[in-house]
Amino acid sequence: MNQPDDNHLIQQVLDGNTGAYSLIVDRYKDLVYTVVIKIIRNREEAEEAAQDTFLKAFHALPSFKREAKFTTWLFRIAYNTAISRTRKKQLTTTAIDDKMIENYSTDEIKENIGQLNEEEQSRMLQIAIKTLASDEQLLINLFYHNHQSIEEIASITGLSDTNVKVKLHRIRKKLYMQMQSNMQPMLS
Amino acid sequence: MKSDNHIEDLNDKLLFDLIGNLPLEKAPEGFNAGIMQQIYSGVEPFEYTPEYRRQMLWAYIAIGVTVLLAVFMLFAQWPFLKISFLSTPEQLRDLLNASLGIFDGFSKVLSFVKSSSSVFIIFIALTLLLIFERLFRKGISSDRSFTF
Repeated sequence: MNQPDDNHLIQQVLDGNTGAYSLIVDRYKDLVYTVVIKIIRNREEAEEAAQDTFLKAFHALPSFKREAKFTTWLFRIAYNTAISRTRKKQLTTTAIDDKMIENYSTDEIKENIGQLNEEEQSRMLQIAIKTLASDEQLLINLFYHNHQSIEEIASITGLSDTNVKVKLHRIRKKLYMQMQSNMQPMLS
Repeated sequence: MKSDNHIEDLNDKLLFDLIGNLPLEKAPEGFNAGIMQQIYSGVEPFEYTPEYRRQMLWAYIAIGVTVLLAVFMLFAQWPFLKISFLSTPEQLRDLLNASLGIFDGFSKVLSFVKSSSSVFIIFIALTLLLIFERLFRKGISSDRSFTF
C-alpha cells in the first residue's frame, strides 16, 4: 500500500486533521532522534529535545514553504533545538592535524577494509565513528545516512556550503585514519 | 577547485554503503503518543489561506480609509475645500449638551459607587473570579491564562 507523501500529510494537518501529524512523527521520529542525540549525547535530554522539535514543527507548520524538503526543514528545527539545549553557539571544529589529514591517502585502507566481511566492516566503522566529535558524527550522518545534499546540510546547520564540504572531506579522512589504526592488530 | 575535489572525494560508495546500513537510534517507546497528547491539549495550527489574507487586507484598507476620512473631515480647513461639519452654532450647542449629559451621567454613577461599598464588592468579586479562572484553567491544560 502506498504511503501518503509528506506534503499530502501536511495539508491534511493544516486542514484540521491533527491525527495525520501522528504519521509524520512516526515516519521521522528515529531520524530526528538520531540527529539530536548526536549533539546532546544524553538519552533523556535527547528525547525531550526530539519531542520539542516535533511540537515546534507542528506549530510552525503553516509557515513551512514547500519549496524545500520537509526533512531539511524538520532537521533544521531539530538541530537548533539541540544546539540551544547544549548552549552551543555553533558547530565547533575539532582540533586536528590538517597536514596529516591532507597527506593521507584513503586508497590503501579502502583495500584493507574490502578484505573484511560485512559484519567486521560495520563494527570497525562504528568504533571509528564513536571517536569523532558530536558535530562530526552529525555531519556524516546527515550526508552518508540521510542522503542530505551539501546545500541542505548547510541550510540545517547554518554553515556555508564550502565549510560543509571541507568539514566532510576532513571527517571522511579522519574516519579512515581511525579505521586503519583500529585494524592494525588484525592486519599484523 | 579545491571544493570540487572535496565533493568528488565525498561521493564515497564504500562509506555510503557502510554508514547507510548502520542502524538508526530508536526513539523511545511512547514517543509518538507523548507528542500527540501534547498537541491535542494545545492549539492547532491554522493556515492563513489566500482568501483569508485577501479579506483581512480589505478589512485593513476599509479601516484605514475610514480613519483618513474622519481625520480629513475634522481637520480639513483648506480655503479651496469647505466642509460644513458641525459649523452652525445650533449643531455645536446640541453636541455640547449631549456630551455634558453623558459626562453628567458618568459623574452620577461614580458618585453613587463612591458613596457605597460597591467598589469594594466589585473588586473582591473580580479577584475571586480571576483566581477561580486561573485554577480552573490550570486543571484543564498547562496553557497560560489570557488574563495573567
